[in-house]
Amino acid sequence: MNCERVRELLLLTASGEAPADSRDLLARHLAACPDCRRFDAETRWILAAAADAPLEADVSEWTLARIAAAAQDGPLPAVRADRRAHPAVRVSWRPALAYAAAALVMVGLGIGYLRRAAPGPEVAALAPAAPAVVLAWDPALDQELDTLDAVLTLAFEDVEEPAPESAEDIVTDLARLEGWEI
Amino acid sequence: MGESLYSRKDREGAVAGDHRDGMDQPELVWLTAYRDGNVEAMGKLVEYYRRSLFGFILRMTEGRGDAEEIFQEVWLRVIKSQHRYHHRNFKSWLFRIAHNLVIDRVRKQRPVVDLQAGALDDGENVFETRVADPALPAADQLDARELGSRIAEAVRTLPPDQREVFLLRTEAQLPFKQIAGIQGTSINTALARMQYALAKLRTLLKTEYQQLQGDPT
Repeated sequence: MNCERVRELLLLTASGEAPADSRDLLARHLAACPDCRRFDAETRWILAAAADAPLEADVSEWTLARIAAAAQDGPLPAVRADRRAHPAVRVSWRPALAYAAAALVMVGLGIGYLRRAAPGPEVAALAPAAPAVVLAWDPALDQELDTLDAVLTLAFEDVEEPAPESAEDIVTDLARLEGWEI
Repeated sequence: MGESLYSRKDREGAVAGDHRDGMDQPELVWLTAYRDGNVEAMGKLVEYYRRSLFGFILRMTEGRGDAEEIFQEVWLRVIKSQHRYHHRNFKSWLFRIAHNLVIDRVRKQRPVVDLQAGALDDGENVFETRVADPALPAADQLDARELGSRIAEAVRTLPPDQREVFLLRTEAQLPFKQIAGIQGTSINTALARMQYALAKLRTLLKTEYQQLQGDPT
């Protein structure tokens, strides 16, 4: 065994990686080789001194606090524990959560719609006084109003300089066309 | 160089060493507790590796600022990916993360060529050639604190690959097989780097050693 291999083996012995049967070989070589004995002694001293050497600086409390905050915000360890322990939970909780969210949205939309659709007390009081035409509103009437609108539009466009007309006259003309009684 | 003793028949010893390192580690208990929702367990884990991990990073980088950033980033990655951790040896995984971050940091910075790095290195340098090389002060009177300071300065003069092997042995107490795995090289290369590092440190610290041994020469 040459000195180079002995020195490798000394390092492996210190790290706990040397084979058990190397101890006798090492002992015999060291007993006969002063250079390797000196290498062994100096190496032990350097390794021990380096391991004991104080650090020039330490981690700041600020850095440790940031790590602690990150640990606090970690990837939901409790949920992960449940998922590992009960795989069925992992399968079922997501759809249930989705259904719950969808139900909440539907309820919210329904409440909003009903609040808009339901007449308030003031509207309900005025409703009996509404004209009979409005209460009898139907698609046919809507179609007639569209036709009337078109007729009026064309009539106004045919007039080069439309004469100023009062609102009362317009309503009177409209009533005459429709046969309403005013 | 001929075939290493280790490469011939020491594989079983290395495996046995790994197994011994991987059993009954308190860090695995804390990591499991954190996975189960115990946030304080992560604090204990950080504290357990505070000295060794920060010492390794501090002496592999330039200045406390870089070291603090990398130290924090290591733990953020541990927290983020701890659910994917299935290795038996947590320490090796932790220092592998630190190793990768140190390399990333060095590569992002402007390289400073160190001629001594090439002279002593073994040709498998994965780092950029960026090494600070402060001169050691003369050794007149020596106390424990001063000795520690001189050793730290001497370690800083090592080429990065050798320095990393040395620090992973002394700070992290990792076996050579795991050091080789972190560096992505063979165990023989890791051993060679350690031999080069020790040779240089022996020269730089010769006076201190002789003083402590009472050798007047």
